[in-house]
Amino acid sequence: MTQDNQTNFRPLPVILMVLILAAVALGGWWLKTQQAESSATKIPITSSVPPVKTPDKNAHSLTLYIPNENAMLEKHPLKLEDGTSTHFADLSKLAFSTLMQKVPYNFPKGTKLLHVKTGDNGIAILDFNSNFNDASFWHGSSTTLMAVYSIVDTITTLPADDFKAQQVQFLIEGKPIAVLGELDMQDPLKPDMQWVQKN
Amino acid sequence: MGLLLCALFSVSNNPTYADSASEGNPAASGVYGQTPDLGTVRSVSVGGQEIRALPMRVGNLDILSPITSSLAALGASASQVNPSNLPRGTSRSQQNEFFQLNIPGQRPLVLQIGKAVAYIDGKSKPLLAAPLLMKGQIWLPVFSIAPLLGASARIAPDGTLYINPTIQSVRVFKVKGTLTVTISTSAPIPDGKVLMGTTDNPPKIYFDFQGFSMGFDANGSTSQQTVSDGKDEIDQVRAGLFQSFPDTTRIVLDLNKPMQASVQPMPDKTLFAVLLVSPGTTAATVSNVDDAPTGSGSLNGMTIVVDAGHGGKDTGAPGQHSFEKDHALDISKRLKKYLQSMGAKVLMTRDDDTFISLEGRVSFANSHQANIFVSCHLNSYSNPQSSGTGTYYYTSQSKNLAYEVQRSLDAASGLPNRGVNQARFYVIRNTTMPSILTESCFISNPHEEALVMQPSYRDKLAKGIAQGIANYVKKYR
Repeated sequence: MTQDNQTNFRPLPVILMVLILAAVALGGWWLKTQQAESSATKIPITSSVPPVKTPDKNAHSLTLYIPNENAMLEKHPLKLEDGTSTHFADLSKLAFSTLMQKVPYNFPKGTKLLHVKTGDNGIAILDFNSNFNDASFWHGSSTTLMAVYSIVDTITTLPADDFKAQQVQFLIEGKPIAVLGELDMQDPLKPDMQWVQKN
Repeated sequence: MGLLLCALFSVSNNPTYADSASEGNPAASGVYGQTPDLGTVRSVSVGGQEIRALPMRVGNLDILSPITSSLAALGASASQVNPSNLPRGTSRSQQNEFFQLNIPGQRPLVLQIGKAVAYIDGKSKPLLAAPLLMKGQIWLPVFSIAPLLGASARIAPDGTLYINPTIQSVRVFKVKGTLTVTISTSAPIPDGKVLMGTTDNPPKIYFDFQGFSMGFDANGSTSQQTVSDGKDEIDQVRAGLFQSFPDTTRIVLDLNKPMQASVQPMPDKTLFAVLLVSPGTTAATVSNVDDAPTGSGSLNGMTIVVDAGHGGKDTGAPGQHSFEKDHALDISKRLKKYLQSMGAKVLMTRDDDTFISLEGRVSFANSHQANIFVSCHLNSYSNPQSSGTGTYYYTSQSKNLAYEVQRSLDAASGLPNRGVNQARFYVIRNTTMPSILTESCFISNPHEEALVMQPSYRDKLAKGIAQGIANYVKKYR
């Protein structure tokens, strides 16, 4: 039986098969190399005018930045119902009232957003009631940072059709606020994504 | 041996460098991504120090040279790789192919022998050529590595390859009537390498940084940082390469009225700070025997303001059994003791249960022209499980201090490390010197409150903060 097998063994087809397989493999490697080289030498073409980001009129959700148990922010989409106003002031009030519902303990009790205005240089002006300035609440850097940047990061990413906020100025009943806890609030705050939990 | 052969092989098989386009203008090369003209290179100068007979060779589109021992002049050093910095998927057997370049205040630059890629914080950046290992020395691709260290690499007409540290930024800010200009560099400034000059008409103050190249557009950088009231005294800040090969970068302050400049000693030698005052004004001084150093050591000559958070009617965060203000004061007093024993003069914003406004704390530190400001706090959050230590800074001049203190505080506390973050807390945003705010633990966490109620634990925390400050001064002074 062993002898029969040895007699029937034909080396030529096997060698041919090996050669064909080797050629296919080499061809694949060569093609890959060419692609890599062509992409490496490709000159990136960029438009001379940077694209302008416009508000998405068809936006169906906004992003809430909600403090989690580890004192970091997490992104939560909030689906907008059909017919929801996408004016900046309306979206701001909707976003803040939802934050208050979801994590009321992250803001002083009785906090209300009274007015939302817009200013130059993409400044959104949020006017809160005096409860927001309750000194007994603003203890600990994590408490302060989570409350303030959940608002700032949410407001500056709203998909409004009339205004794109780039920074947020806080007022208490129409008056500027100097500090919240230890945080310097004298000038507008820009979004800060370092507080967003990384996965 | 296998590695060595592999490295040599990669060089001899990549003779792709061929560019004579810059022969007529040899000084023009050196920008990252351009091909250097090796034909003109005869010697190398690193950070103003000429290194004769330094071997060089072409590797792909870069010049390779064994300059790791000269990196100190660029504010960096080479070491074995820390396994936590290795790129994902690195096998144990591959680890010895890696090494890292350490740059204070930044994530280390991880490199692999024979691979033209650098890793920073797990992200890869392509290099023009791979580092090689030859005859027991690491050869670095000079034009690829220099910009990653904040340095510039340029070839002079006489064939000298200059690798220089650079000026990184100029900032102007005014707090409580004190106008401060800080100039940050990519490497420590050697003593005597900055010359100051003035002109009366028009009024100008300028600083020549010898051995430093331009690393940015100073005008743009400064205009973004100048506070509005600083414009009363300073019309504009300019920077330019005053002299080439060897380089001198000149920073010019065009003044609206005559001002006197006094250079402020900085513990971080990558910072040059100048206080501008109206002619005839003198700086405030203090002398209190309780603040004087009690020992001698790495903090000799330093004035440090220790700020115990809260106090008096401001209790700070409440725990179940104690208040933040009391622990902050106790840790601060212990911190003072440790810093004094290392040779520092230590001033405290409060040393009893007194209320002091945030503005008052800032004013105290600025008027005493402290070298370092450290504010001691405990953290708090709605979830009682939140835990750990953290350190905050605001200005770029404070970043290195924050990292050193957090590293040491983390080791001392044994708690989760929440790391270093930039945040606009009032006291660290408005002080003119390197300033940090530490959160030693969460008083809202019952376990951590129980720990911080033990005097021995508070002592550990204070010692950790003091050691971090000492490490910072030692590294950057």
